[in-house]
Amino acid sequence: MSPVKLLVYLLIVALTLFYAYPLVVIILEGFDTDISPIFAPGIRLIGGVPYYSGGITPSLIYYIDMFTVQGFQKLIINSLVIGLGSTLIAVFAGVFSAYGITFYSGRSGRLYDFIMLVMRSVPPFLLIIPLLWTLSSWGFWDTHAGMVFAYLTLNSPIAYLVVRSLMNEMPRDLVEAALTMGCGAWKAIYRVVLPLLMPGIMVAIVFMLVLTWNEFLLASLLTGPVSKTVSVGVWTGVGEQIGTFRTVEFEAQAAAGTVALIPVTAIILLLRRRLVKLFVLSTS
Amino acid sequence: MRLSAVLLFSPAIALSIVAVLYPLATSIYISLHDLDTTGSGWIFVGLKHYNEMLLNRFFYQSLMISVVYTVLSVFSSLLLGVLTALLLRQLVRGHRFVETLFMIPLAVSPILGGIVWSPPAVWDDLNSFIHYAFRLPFIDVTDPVIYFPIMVLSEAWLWSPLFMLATLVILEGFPKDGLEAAEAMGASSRHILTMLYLPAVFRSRVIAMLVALKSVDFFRSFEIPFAWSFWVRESQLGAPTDTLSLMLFKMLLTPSTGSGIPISYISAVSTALMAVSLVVSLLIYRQLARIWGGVMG
Repeated sequence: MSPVKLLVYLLIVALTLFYAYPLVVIILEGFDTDISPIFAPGIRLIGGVPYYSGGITPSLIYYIDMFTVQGFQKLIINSLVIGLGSTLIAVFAGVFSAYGITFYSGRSGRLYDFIMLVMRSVPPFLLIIPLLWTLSSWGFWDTHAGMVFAYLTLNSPIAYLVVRSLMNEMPRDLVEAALTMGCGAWKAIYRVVLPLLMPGIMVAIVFMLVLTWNEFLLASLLTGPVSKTVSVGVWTGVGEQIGTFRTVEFEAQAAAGTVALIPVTAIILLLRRRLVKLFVLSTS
Repeated sequence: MRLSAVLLFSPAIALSIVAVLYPLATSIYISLHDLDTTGSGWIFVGLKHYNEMLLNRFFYQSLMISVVYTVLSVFSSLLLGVLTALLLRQLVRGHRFVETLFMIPLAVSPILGGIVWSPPAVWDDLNSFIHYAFRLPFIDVTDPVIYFPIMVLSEAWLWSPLFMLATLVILEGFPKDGLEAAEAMGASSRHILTMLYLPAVFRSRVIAMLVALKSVDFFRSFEIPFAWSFWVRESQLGAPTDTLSLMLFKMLLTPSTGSGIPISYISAVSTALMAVSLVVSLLIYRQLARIWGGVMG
């Protein structure tokens, strides 16, 4: 083996450790009742404080606790309801507005594109105060409907931009032919546009589901006991909320994190290289 | 027919305008007003809160932190991603498997990214390893000089797979003719790398857009600094973990005595943050287009 080849393999091993090791730790910690490290029992530092640890003691306690006492399944349902709700409404609105802009508007369509592009770069923090204020004054704080609305502000620009670029790539002639042959606008969408764009739209829906499933900032402030989502549950694990910060049990976080990770990993592995296109599409 | 079409798509446009423009307009409105404590509603105060922001040292400190954090994170994810992709292409077998393995961090939510690289997850193991194997002192992760790079590393861990995938897509689309011509003319593999592959990657439109997108994202990044401010017990304002978003979050949840939660001030800062990130993203877009020679619409 040439030295260059050896170096390549060594680097790949190092990168494998870098990418995989934190995940392995998180998965193992969820099954381990001991505080921290896996290697070498003994005294070590946790957050700068010396601690005694006895290595690994396998146990399912955190998973049992999570699905019985903590009711993590409720958070999963919440996340799915909120994610699907906001994603589907956003895509629905996106299809219609993109259709209108693509086939009926002239230069004014560029303005709408630009507004949506601006909205894509809105920092979520800008939305916090208006959303907190509006949702709580209308009694929608910590409700599924309120969260669907909140995520609509994040999802609808992405949905619009993705669908719009799909429509730009689509042969216009088909739609124009359908319209000339007496197809109404609604029928043209239903019979021509949707079947053509369906694969792309499905991918976009899945992508936005992942984004909402993983979103933390808005969910942590806009949800309470009723509509708490998975990513909030991953952080809070078990423990008391004391002001901004709280006590935390790391193993509970690890277990919840592992559960939250499974469906998203499956989706990411299905999307594979399409991810690049999705990220780019939603900015172009 | 045209009217029916307008009727068809206008509700959708109205919905998205309400969903996105309403919070934005509200935020700008709040930032220009003060909430009257006697309960008579909002009082117009003009640019008072923006002025306040420009006089606040926490604001400048967080701005500095955000800028440094953004620059370091973008560079490390880009370089790590490109390096990984180039190495992957050297693999004869197992190429797909390793690629799949390296892709998994993209599924990790940012807040979980703050957990998997936390002291109890990785660093305690590493500390015990280097301590028992090499008799080295513990790495003190509560030191800002140590944990700031770790935060950046976590961002790179999360997002470099995206750059890796983009690079792989670009390199696989690389024209075979060009490669064969270069080889026929006796180019070494080093020449092919530095004169064909790297320019193709760094001049591509995809990479330029991802860099612009991630710069804006890193600039407002919240989850990883938030998680670390918990791990290293930095709950007060002005800590080295405080990016702009985290500073605003702390202001929102830990009200200063007397005046309550400064929501107008927070709105002002976040409006300014939005303006800055908008301008920055447009500038980066343009500059990348110019420097890297890509054609952008």
